[in-house]
Order: sequence, then C-alpha cells, then structure tokens
Amino acid sequence: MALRAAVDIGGTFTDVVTYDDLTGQLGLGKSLSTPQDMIQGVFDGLAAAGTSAGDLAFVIHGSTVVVNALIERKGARTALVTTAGFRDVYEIGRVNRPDAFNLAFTKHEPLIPRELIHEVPERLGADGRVTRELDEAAARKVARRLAAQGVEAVAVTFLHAYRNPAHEIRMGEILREELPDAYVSLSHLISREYREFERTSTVAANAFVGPLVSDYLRRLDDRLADAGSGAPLAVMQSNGGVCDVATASTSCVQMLESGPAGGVVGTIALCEALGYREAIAFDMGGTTAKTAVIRDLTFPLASDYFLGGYRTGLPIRIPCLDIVEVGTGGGSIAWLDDAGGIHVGPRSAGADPGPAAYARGGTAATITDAAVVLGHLPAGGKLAGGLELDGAAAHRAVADLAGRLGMDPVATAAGVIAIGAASMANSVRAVTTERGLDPRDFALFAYGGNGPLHISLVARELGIRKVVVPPFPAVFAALGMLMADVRRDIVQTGVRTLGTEDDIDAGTEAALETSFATLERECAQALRGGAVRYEGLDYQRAADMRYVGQEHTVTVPVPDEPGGAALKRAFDRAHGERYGHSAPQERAQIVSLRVSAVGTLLKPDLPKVARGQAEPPAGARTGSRDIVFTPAEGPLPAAVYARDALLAGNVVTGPAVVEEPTATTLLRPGDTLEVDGFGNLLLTIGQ
Amino acid sequence: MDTTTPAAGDTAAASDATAAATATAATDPITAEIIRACLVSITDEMKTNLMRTAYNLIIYEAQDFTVGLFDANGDTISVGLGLPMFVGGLSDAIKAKIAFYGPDGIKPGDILLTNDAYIMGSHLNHMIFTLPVFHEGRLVAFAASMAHWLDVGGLLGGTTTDIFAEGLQIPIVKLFKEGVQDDELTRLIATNVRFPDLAMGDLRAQVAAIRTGESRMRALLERYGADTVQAGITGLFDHSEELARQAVRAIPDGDYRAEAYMDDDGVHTGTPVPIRVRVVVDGDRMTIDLSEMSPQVAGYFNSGATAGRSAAQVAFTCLTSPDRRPINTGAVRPLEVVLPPGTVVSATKPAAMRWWMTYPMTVVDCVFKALADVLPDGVVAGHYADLGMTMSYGVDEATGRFFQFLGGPQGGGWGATSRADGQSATICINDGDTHNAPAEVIESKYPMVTVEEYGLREDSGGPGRHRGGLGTRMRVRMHTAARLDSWIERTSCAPWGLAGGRPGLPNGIHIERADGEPVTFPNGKVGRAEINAGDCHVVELGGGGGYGDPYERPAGRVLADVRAGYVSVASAREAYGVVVVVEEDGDSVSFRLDEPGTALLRQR
Repeated sequence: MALRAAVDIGGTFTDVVTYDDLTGQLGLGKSLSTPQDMIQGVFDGLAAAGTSAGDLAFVIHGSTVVVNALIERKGARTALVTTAGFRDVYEIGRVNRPDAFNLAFTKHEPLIPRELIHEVPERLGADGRVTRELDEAAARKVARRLAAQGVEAVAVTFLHAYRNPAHEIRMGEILREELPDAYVSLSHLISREYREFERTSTVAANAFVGPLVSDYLRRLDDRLADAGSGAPLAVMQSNGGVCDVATASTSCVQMLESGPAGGVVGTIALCEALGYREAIAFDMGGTTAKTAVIRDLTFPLASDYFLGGYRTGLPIRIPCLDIVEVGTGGGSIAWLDDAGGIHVGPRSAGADPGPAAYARGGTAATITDAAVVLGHLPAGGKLAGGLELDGAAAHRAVADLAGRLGMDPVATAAGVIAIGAASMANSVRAVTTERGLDPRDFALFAYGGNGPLHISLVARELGIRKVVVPPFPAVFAALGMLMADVRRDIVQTGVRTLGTEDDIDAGTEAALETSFATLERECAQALRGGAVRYEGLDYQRAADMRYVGQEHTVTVPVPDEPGGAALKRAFDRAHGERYGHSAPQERAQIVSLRVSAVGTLLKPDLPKVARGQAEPPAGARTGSRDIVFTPAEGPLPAAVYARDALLAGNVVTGPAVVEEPTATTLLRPGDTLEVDGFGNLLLTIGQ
Repeated sequence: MDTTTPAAGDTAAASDATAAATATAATDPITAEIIRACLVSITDEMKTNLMRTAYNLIIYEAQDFTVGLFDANGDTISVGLGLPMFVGGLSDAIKAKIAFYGPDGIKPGDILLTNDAYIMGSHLNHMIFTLPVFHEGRLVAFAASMAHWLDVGGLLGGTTTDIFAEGLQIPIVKLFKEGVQDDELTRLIATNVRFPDLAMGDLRAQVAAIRTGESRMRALLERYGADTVQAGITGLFDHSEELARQAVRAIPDGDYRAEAYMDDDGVHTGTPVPIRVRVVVDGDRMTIDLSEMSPQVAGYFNSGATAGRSAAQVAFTCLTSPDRRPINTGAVRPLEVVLPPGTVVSATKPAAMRWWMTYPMTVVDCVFKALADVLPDGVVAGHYADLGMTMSYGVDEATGRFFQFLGGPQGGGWGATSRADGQSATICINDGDTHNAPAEVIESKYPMVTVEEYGLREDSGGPGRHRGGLGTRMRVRMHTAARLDSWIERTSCAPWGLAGGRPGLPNGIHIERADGEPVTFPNGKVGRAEINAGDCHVVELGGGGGYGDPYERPAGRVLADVRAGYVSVASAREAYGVVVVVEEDGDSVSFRLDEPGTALLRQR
C-alpha cells in the first residue's frame, strides 16, 4: 500500500492521478463529475484510475465544492454579527461603480440579508486598545435572537479585530453557548488584514459554505476510512499547499482555487526538474484561460481575489493564488455586434451544448470549431467521454459566421483563432508587462485541455521562444497536487514606519524580528497539531510595503541579509522593477507581515521515458493531415504523432501535431519540439 | 529620482503568424478586433501603473485620474478611466498643446504639462502630462495622464471667487525637453504646493504611466505598421460611431427639456442656481443644448466648457454605448453640444473653479429626465449627485502636528429604472471605480478621528414601483479641536422620481456637539466651522428617486423592505399603502402583511 492519489473535482470532470511509491508508476483516471453527490465522484474517479480506496496511503483532494456553493448561492442560512454602527458595511461595500457608463449597473450581492445582520456594542481602536467593552448582555440577546431566527451559521466581524481578537473570541463563546449546532466563523481566524468590508465579505463567505463544506469533508474522510483507506485526507488550498480536514473545515474559503493552485504547484515542480527559476503557467480550458507568473520558484500569492469577478464580485481576502483569467477557451463563441464587428468570448458555449463540433445542439461558431475547420483538431477525432468531433457541424457554424462577415470561411476560422490568441496574450501581459516583467524572459508552460493546441500562437504574440507541454496536460492540476507540501500562511496588518536606508526606525526594526518569530511559532504550532505529517519545516517571510503617503503596497520577500536597511533596499528594488520608478530617499512603511510555513511532504519521482534517437520511432507517427496555419498559404501536410510512443530525445519539426487522449499539441511551421527525459514536450517557437 | 525604463510590452520582435494571417487587408475585421483589444490593454496597463504608484489617496482610492492614447490630432483613441466626467479633458488639453507648439514644435521625449483650468474645464489640481509617440520619425500619437494632486497651493479653507486664489497655474510648458527634466520648472512647482513630496511622487507616477503607454504604442506600431494601426483606429472610430447612431435612431425624434436647480453658489447663500437642459433628437443625431444654463457664478462651483461638453458626452455615452471599449472619439460623433461661453459649465477666466465637479452631475441627470417619457427603458431616475466631501483640519493636540482629514466619498442612492430598484450606497456619476475609505484605514491613519457610524438611511430611497437606492449616513467624532469645511450640494432639490415615482431624501450635513446638541446649516457648504474635541459631524447623503407608482409595488416586496429595515412601517403605510404588522415575542421580532388593511388603503 504505497499509493498516493490526487483527486481534483472540476466543473465537468473529476481527474485522478495516482502514484505508486514502489514502482514509480503514475495512474490516471477521468470521470464525469457528479455535482449531486461529489463524494461518489471521488470513488468513480478512483475506479477510473484502476484503484480503490483500500490501496491508498495518502489522498490529496481539490474540489470546486466551495466555488460552486458560493456562485450558486447554495449555502447555509447565515447571520453576521458586527460592531455597533457598522451593520451595513457588508451591503455598502466600497461604493465603486466599475461600469462607469452603465445605468443598469448592480453592485455585489451580499450572501447575508440585512435582517440577519446584527450589531453588538463594543469597540477597539486602530491600535487594538479597547475603547468600549463588549456588552455581554447585548451579545447574548443577539445570540438568542439568531437562535430564534433559525440560523445555521454565524460570521463575526468586529472593527480592528485583526489587532485584538478578544471581543470576537468572547462573542464566539457566547454564540456557541446559545447556538451549539451552528457553524461559527470569526474574522480574525480567516483574515488579519485591515479593511472591514473585505474582511467581512471573507468571513461571511466562509460561514456561508462552512456547514456544507465541513460536513462534506468529514463524510469523505469517513467514507475513505470505511473503504479501507488508512490515508489521512489532505485538502488542497488556494495558497498552493495542503492542510488537514480540521483546518480546511475552519477555513473553508481556502479551497476556492484548489484546482488552479495544483497546476501552478506542478509547474514549479517541473521547473525545478528542468532547472528553470522563472515561468509562466498557462492553463486553457473550455471557457477561460488562466495565467500565473512564477518567479524564483515561488508560488505566486495575491490577496485581492474576487469571487465572480472584480466588477460585481465578492472580495475574498486570503493568501490566494495570484492568477488572471480571461474569457477565452475552447468553447468561446465568435459573435458579431450590431455594426458587424467581430468579437471572441467571453460568451461561451460551455460544456453543454458545447461547440457546434460536439454535435449536441450548439450552432454558434467557437474557437474549437475554428480549430476543426483549420484541421488543428481532426474532424471525427475522439474526445474524453467518447464524444466525436463533427466536422460538418463545425464547418456549418463557421461558414455562417463567415457569410455574415463577408469573408472566406477558412480566413474567418484563422481570424477567430488569432483573436483568441491575442486576447490570451493580453492577459499574459497583465501579469508580466503590467508588473515590469518581460514575458520573453520566461518559459511558458501550457496545460489544460486546450493549452497545448493554442500555445504556439500565444507564445508568438508575446515573443516567447521556450514552451513546455508537461505530461498529461489535461489532468495536470491533479498531478501538481501530488507535488504539494503542507502549508499555512498568516498575514498580519500592523502599520509601522521603517524609515530610509540611512535612518531606520530602531523600534520598528527590533519589533519586526519579534513579530515574525511570533507568527512563525503560531504557524508551526498549527501544523504540528494537524493530522498531516510532514518532514522538515521551512518558513518564508515577506512584508507588504509602501512609501509613506502611498496606499497600495508591494509584497517584498524579506532578504537573507538582516536588518531594516536591507529590507528597505529590497523594497526600493521591487518598487522600481514593478513600476519603473522608486524613491530610495523616501521613508518606507510596513503595512502587513506575511509568514508562510511549509512542511515538506514526500513527492513522486516523475517517471522517466525511454531514450531514443532524434528521429521518432516509426510507430510514433500515426499519420498525416492537412492543416491551415495562414489562409493565404493554404493547407500544409502535417505529420501526426502519438505522444505515448515518443521517446526522450525525439525531435519533431512543425508543421506537426502530437496527439494524446485528452489533448493535442500543435506545432506551427518553424516550431520544433524535443522530448525530454520526463516526457515533457519542449517546444522552440519559430520566429 | 531613480528612474529605470519600464520593460516594454515589446512584441515587435515576433513577426508572427497572427500578423501574417491577418495582414491581408488593413481594415479587415480580424485585424481591427486585435488592434482594438491591444489599445484597451495598453490604457489598462497605464491605469494600473498610475493607480498603484500614486502617492495621494485621491488618485489611488478616488481614482481621480484619467489616462489615454490620442491620435496625432489629439482625438481620443482609448481612455482609461478614472474619472468619467473628465472623458473629454485630456483630448481638449492635447489639442491646445498641439496648437500652442505647432506640429513641428513637439520633439521625441518632450513631456508637455498644463493645469490650465479653462483648457481642461476643471480645477487646478488636475495636472495633465502628455508624451508624443513617434514612429519612423513621424509624430503619430500621444500618451497622456491626468491626476488630481492633493494640493496646488492657494487659499486654504474658505471660498475663492477667482482662479488666482486657487493656487499655482501652469500654462502649457515642456517639463521634459527631449527626455531631460527641467529642474527649474520642477522646483518652481514643488515650491508652490503644500505637500511637495506627495506632489513629486505623483509626478513620477504620471510620467511612468505615459512612458508605459508610449512604449507599448510604439511596439504596436512596429508590429503591425503605422498604416495598419492607423486604419484600425479609423475603423474603430467609424465602428463606434455607427453603433452610437443606431442607438440614437431608436430614440423618437423630438425636442425635450428638463430642469433642476442647485442650492446656491456658496457666496449668495440660498439663491438657487438653475440647471436647464434641452435635448433634440433628429434621426441618428442628438443635440444637447446647454445655452440656458445659469450664467457663471461668483463662488467656485464653475467649470469650463470642456466639463460642460464632457457632461453631455457622459449622458450620451450612458444612453448609447454604455459598455463598449475603448472609449473613443467615434462614439460621440453623433452628438452635438451647444454651449455658449459664460455659463456655469462654460465659465471664462477668471471664474473660480475649485469645486467644479458638482453642477455637471445634475446636468447629466437632467438629460435623462428630459428623455424619460420617450425612452422609459433607457433612463434612470435622479440620484443624489454629489460627492459629499468634507475636510477636517487643524493641529492634533496629541502630536502638535497639522493634519487634514478628507472625509468621503461615502456613496448615496441611485435612481430606480423601469426594470429595477436603484442601487444603494453607490458613487455618484462624476466618478466611476472610486472607492470609499474603510473606517479601519481612516482610524489607522488619523488617530484623532473615530468613525462611529457608517450605514444606510432608512426611508431615504424614493418610493416607487421600483424603489430608489438608499443613501448613507456617516458620523465622525473628532478627538481634537479642528475646523470643518464641506462642499455638499443638492440639500433642497431632492433626487426626483420618474413615471409617478417619488423623490428620495436630499443630502445634508450637521454637527453634533459632545453633549448631543445639534448645529445645523442653511445649506451643505460649511466653511471653517468650529469643531471642539469630542464633537461629531454627520454627513447624510440622499437616496435615489423611485420609478413608477409606489402603490403598484408588490406588497410582498414592501414587506421584505420593512423586514430588512430599508423602509419603515410608517412609510410602508404612507408611501406604499401597505400595512405591516410587527409582532415581538421574546427574542424574536416578526413582520406580517395585513392584507385586508393593505387592500383597503390601496383602493384609493
């Protein structure tokens, strides 16, 4: 029994990857997700991977359970308790109107209605000092009222609780006394950053999904144990690490981006194996393309996540994978506006009905249909789930669009692909050039069901030459989860002035070391008490910093060189890199301290593929088909290879395609590909 | 200043398949769409860069800035908001700069600066930096940024009655000549502002933003060639124009009017200032005629012609192209604005302009009001139309240091539409993605301030079949003696309802002494009011107007509003004709609809 499994439940499919520590073999399974009973989906996925719970020594689980419950608003009847005078913080939000000219604009919609939001007299100052004691009688009255209102979950946010949690803790005790069956979530346990709306929104979301998610995780854990697994269940979090069931049940919102986090963890692991330190992780699926930037092998975190998008979404303020998303995927629809202008996405045919080529009733031309028309995907080719690509349906959809545009269908199809690539390239720029980074300095990792098909054009848009298509790109997020460590993050707000390099505030400098050490101890304590055992424990320190007078901060990893002056220099450098200017002569402030504690878990050794010659073995070439890259040039014959027959050292020159059951890698003329020892496809993009 | 060149989004090196696939015809729809998306992406990047590095909160939280790309004539290619009411300000300033230097007088690396109030139509705090974009030796475009500096000198507190009292006026100058910063001009500017460190920080941020725009625009030109990009831009203008014309064609032809009034000009307290708008729709053209607006006033609530035209353009854009990007000159071509000089929104020198932004908002709402009968599904009832800003300042007794606490914006109610209730607690139409200041941030920065309450005002939303959004109340206690200024308007002309909907509550401000005694004012414009340690000031912003007859609002929805506390039991009865019974039982309170009582009231 030395099998480890990662189970990633996505919107459409449940992906399972297993790894046998003894044989070093990977196993794969893909099954349809079962939203009505997700636990069944886990067992279906394990069966599809040819294993059962009894064989497992360790299970890592990622799931869309949290994001689904929040988006569909299928959570608990939840109440909010907050400081007197601030009942409406959650509804007021930040008052902004991102759609400046839209008279039908609507704000975020709170998860908790106003009649379930109650105030309690109490108050802290910004320094954490109690300026008004918690009114216990009033607190108890509110708790009883909530019991009468029949709530299942209660979120508590008091002003400045990030500096002093005493009142929240006491309120939590009173709530548990009066509502012993309710799920109670206190803001300081989920987020210790200031800004009351964002913290309220975060703890409200956590409480809203809390009963459902904690119950789900407990039942899954029990079912696995019943099925004979002695494996502790580890839960994939948005911070790129795993945690135990108890932690995930307290901090449910940490599961929000568990799938995408798995892909980025996997990318970092591959970078280590390949000797890269900087990479762009690019994950293109059916409806969106997601991009994250990895620098110095570090998992990229941000704390400005919006559930449901920036414009009308709910902020979730947790250390979360820093990712940008654009509504371009295989199912993105090409459409014309009222003046005949063409646009691609974010309208999507989704999984149902899907692109016209799925022959399930879709008639609008999508990116996938354009790919079929051009021969990038084979008409008649098989998709996961046994679906067959209907070439005639794809042609009809694209020809209809072309007719309305007054263009040739093939040129139209090439145009749809090009517009999609340009918009994906723009979203990569949002995490590179917008941060002062040159995308050409990065290796581009392409995965997701559609990443390998479109990556050559996206890379060309960006001037990137080096592209990696990892093994099993369509289940890469699950594979990545097997590479994750145990991790806990704390972000603690406490504004203090550091000064300039020549004039460092001695008090701040001294307090920094103490504060970091305290936070590290707290992380270590939490991890040691957890159910997931690990080897060594490493810490990372960072500080959110700004110049005095600025509001926004830059997160600066604390340099090895000790002292405030070195930290100030690191901040000046980071500011200059990101924004093109810095001000070493000006005083810096520290707004929040960040500590990550990472407990090392055993990782799979990526299986090696056998070495061959530059020329792929004869059996690897399965045929040839005509593919259009540029309409003017017309179709070109392209060799077709089966990925599982390729050997390390094999070289393939574009135009060509490399096929595997759930993904297709497209090489344009001028591109070359070499297979490395792990079976990665290393592409050199033509100029 | 430590300046490193921002890494360009330099994609020019790749002569790639996209270009090859699509370069067949300069204006083919595919290339047009790719260029359009790139232009939006460039101004997005300029915006991110400026917002994140600015030093003062008015830029990074209030988003009082605008960045953009402009063609060689100064026409708008893409604007990154920022401030909607400044939608035409950058273009007008660039056109003035071109006229001043002549087409040959602008060299690569020159950065042109001005804050001329009568060129850009708004107050002197708006600094406009412009960098030309050259391609193959030809001036082909401009990148520009406007941002609101916290202070530009001038009178502190009190009312100004001419521009000279309002601070440093910078005519059109070259702050950088062929890439070299003019140290003498820079020192002159830094010497004339109260917070030179902040100002120079904002200057650096603005320069970095336009350099980003310039380098990415050059990359785009190199990649596709100037002819293709130019054709793409021309096509973009034509396309946007066509979409706007289609929208105007859907509005019945006619001559429509509306009016409202402002409280006063801050000098002649209690003398209303009329806002009169005429809208003429003729086929696919619209004329917004502002010639009957009040003449310019003595106080500092005037704005220049650019602001008057921009107000008309904001209203027009809301009606015709609310969600099309990029915002560009083509989209407003079907609009003609009639605006003779000398009105409150076309003021001439030396009219005072410090609080330029209030009156134009009511102009925009009046355009919607004028079209309400003929475009019932396209307009919105009146909103509170104000920023609700205050300034508390003085010497903090705890530290002995001077402080300035800028209160607001806290958001108010928007009008209802024929389809939906109005939004509560939302920023006014002058602004867009502007944020309020969290109490936790305020109290961390200003230890002399405690925010005691920030909430929705019950019954402030105008009753209607669709209810207006609710306004907000913020109560701020000062722990040190201070002075208070405020610039709150529309305290008497309440946000109006449409189609039988009733008005929301108007805006207001008062002081509450430490012992609870209230101090009220004749309007919302408080000047140097005395605040003692322990006193509060309370800003109450209005609700939006309702839409349709309140008696037609389903009783169940009124009951839900009562249960949530948006509407009181009394108002449910009086305004909506709905009888709600409150039942208290120990710890629980419940609300029940009295159906017969409601039916009786609603018989009328």
